[in-house]
Order: sequence, then C-alpha cells, then structure tokens
Amino acid sequence: MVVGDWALILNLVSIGLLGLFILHALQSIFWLFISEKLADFSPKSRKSLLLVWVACPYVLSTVITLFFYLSITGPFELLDEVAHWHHAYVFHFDSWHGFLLLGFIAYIVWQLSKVIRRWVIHSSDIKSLNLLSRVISSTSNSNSSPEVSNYYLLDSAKPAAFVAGIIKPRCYLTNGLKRQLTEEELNIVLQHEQAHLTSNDALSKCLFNLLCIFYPGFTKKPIKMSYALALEQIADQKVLKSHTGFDVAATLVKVAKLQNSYKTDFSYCYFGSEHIALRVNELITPGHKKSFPIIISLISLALLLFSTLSVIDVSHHLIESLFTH
Amino acid sequence: MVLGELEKQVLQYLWAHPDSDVKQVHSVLATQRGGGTLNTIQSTLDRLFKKGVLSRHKKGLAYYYQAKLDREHLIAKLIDNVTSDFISEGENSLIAAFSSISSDLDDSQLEELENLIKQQRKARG
Repeated sequence: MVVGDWALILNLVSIGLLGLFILHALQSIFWLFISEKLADFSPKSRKSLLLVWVACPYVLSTVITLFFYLSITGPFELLDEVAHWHHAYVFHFDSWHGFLLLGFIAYIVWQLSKVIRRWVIHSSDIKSLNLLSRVISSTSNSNSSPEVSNYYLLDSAKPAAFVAGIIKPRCYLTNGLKRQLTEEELNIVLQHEQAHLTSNDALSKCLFNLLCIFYPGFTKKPIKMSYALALEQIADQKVLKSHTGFDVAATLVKVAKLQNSYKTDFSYCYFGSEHIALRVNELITPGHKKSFPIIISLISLALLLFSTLSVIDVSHHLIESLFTH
Repeated sequence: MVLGELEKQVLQYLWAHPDSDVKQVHSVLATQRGGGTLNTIQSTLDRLFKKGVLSRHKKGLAYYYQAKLDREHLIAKLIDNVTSDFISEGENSLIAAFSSISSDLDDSQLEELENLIKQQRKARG
C-alpha cells in the first residue's frame, strides 16, 4: 500500500489509463458509424481527421487526468460534483487500479520491445538493400515534368516501387518495373514516390501505427488502411500538377497488373485491396470533397471528454460498490 | 534476415565466385576496407552457413561454400521484409508504395478499371 503524494500520482496515472481505454472503446464503437462518411472528405482533410482521431485518446486522457487532479487538490467543488475519486491519497497494488497499472506497463514493455526488435531488423534489411542497389540520378527530359530526386535501383524481376526508411527514407525501384514502363509512366511513378519522400510518409505511418496500438483488431486495421489510402491519394494528387488524372490512373492499373502477373514464393501480405479502385476513381472522377470539419470535430471531442469523465466516475463507483477495493 | 557488413561482402563475393574456400574469399576481401582476418572470414562463413544462407561441401581438408539464395531471391526477400509493418506483424503498411504491392484485384477487375479509364478519357475528349 502506498500513502501520500506517490499514491496520488499512481491514482492519477490509473485515471489516465482508465480514460485511455474507455476512449478507445468509445471510438471503436463510433468508428462503425463514421468510417463510411470519411470518403466524403478530401484526402488532406481525411489525413488530418485520422490524425486527430488517433491522437484524441492520448490528449483527452491527459485532460481527464488534469481534471481529476484539480478536482482532488483544487478548491473547485463544481469539478468534484462532475467526477471524483475516492481514496486519492491511498493506492493498493493488489486492487483493480493496481492490476490496470501493472497490466498496462507489461503491455507497453512487450509492445515496445517488439517494435525495437523489428526496428533493428528493418534498419539492417534497408542497409542490405542499399548495398545491393545502384543509385540512379533521375532527371526528367520533359520541361513540363519536375525533376525527381535520386532513386535506388534493385536488380529484381519483381515489379515494385516504394519508399522505405523511417529516419532517412529512400525511393526504391526494381528493374522488373522500370523495364516495363514508358518514360512518362516512370516519371509518374517517381513523382509519386517523391511526394512520399518530401512528406515523410514512412515516418508518419510509423508514428500513426504506434498511436493505434490500443485499438481492437476490428478497428485498428481499417483505421490504418484509411490513413494509408489518404497518403497515397495525396501523393497521387501531387503528380496531377504535371500529368493528367487519366495518365496517373492508367499507370496505376498497369503497375497493379504487372504485380499480379509476377507471383513469387515470397508472398506479400494482404493490404489495401480496395486502394487501387478507390484511387483510380478519385483520379478520373474528381468531385468536390468536404474540407476538415472543425466545428463538428470540436463538438465530438467535447462529447467524448464528458462521456469518458462520466464513465470513469460511474465505473469507479460501480466496481467499488460491487467488490471490495 | 539480419546480415552484417562483412557477411554481405562475403555473399557478394560468393555470388560472383561460387564454390570458394575460406582462403579464396579472404584473399579478395582482405584487400577491401574492413575485410577481416582469415579467422574472421572463417567465422563469417560458418555463421552464414548456420543461418542457412550458404551451403558447403568438403574437398580434401577445406570446406567450399556456395550461396543458397541467389542475388535476386535475396533482394526479393529483403523487399518483403522491408515492406512489412513492424508495428503489427503481417501488415504491409510501413512503405509508401506506388501501387499496393499485394493488390487483391484480379486481372479481370483490373481490366474493367482500364476500360473505365478509357471510357472516361474518351467522354472528356
């Protein structure tokens, strides 16, 4: 049992964690209703919305912790009426708060160790790829097409073009793809990858995925896929400055067909089966899309905040009425 | 697959000169920066053999090594590793790829998309 200021800190951390879990649960339910509506927004707005969405539990749980801190220590009686916490200066490790805290620490350590281990392997594999590739200075002959930066050419028949590397991203292209593209198509592919490079999309995806670790599987995957789709469509749009939507869409389908025709022992995992159809549709029939809904977002954040505060208060009372502490 | 710098140099050598013994590998790599001593090359070859990257057979007193994976297959495997997501294993979401590498659309669906693009292009003149 811990008593005093340390107990207050541990209780506040437990409150923050409880808030974090409740917010993820509430968002997972809301996701079922809003996921379809996301398509109405422009890719940039969708990207911002999704970033706000995944950052929201962390920001709001911090606000909730602060709220309880003021309610416990401050002279604000009104706050105490909205939500309050019993035994703020006593913390039992063998209580449900204790289990929540220890469980969270164990989960975080497990997740981080997995991430660090895979980061090391990932970095090593990228170094190996660099060693096995040739740097190509990419210049465009066409005056209308902007120059794209250097890329790494890989001796592989597998048709692929991608940006990889978290801290120092690089563009990779295989011989298998390059051989089968015209100069214009190659320029489209490289400009698309250049857009990912300049926007630091690999790092952005990595951080986004980290923020998603507490969502249950049935929402985690579609949230991550929606974010990936938004990034791809933003990159597609940047190519539209120098090529038509039809040319970009046709290149996209051509690359997908080339990839379909090349099956190897190394099977790629499932990812984004709908992306190509959605991206093609966006490119050839661009319509007016909604921009970031600031007012609705603020109202939703406030609703989520008060719902979570209420759920924490109610669940705290309920658990401690049904069970001994 | 985690490969050290020296391991990669050894592999590069064995792709160009298959069926080589430790002395042959060392004679070339010793002249390069960070090439290592004969003992270092021997332990690197052993390590790569244990990792399943090399195979070997004995001729007289010496082992002769060959790369099990050719350059192209190693690159394909590295692409596969690099493009996998290290936040949740089994998802291909760390990379930013031009076309999603594992599109589930089959050829007939892609052809439909192709026709749709042609129709829209024609309609817009």
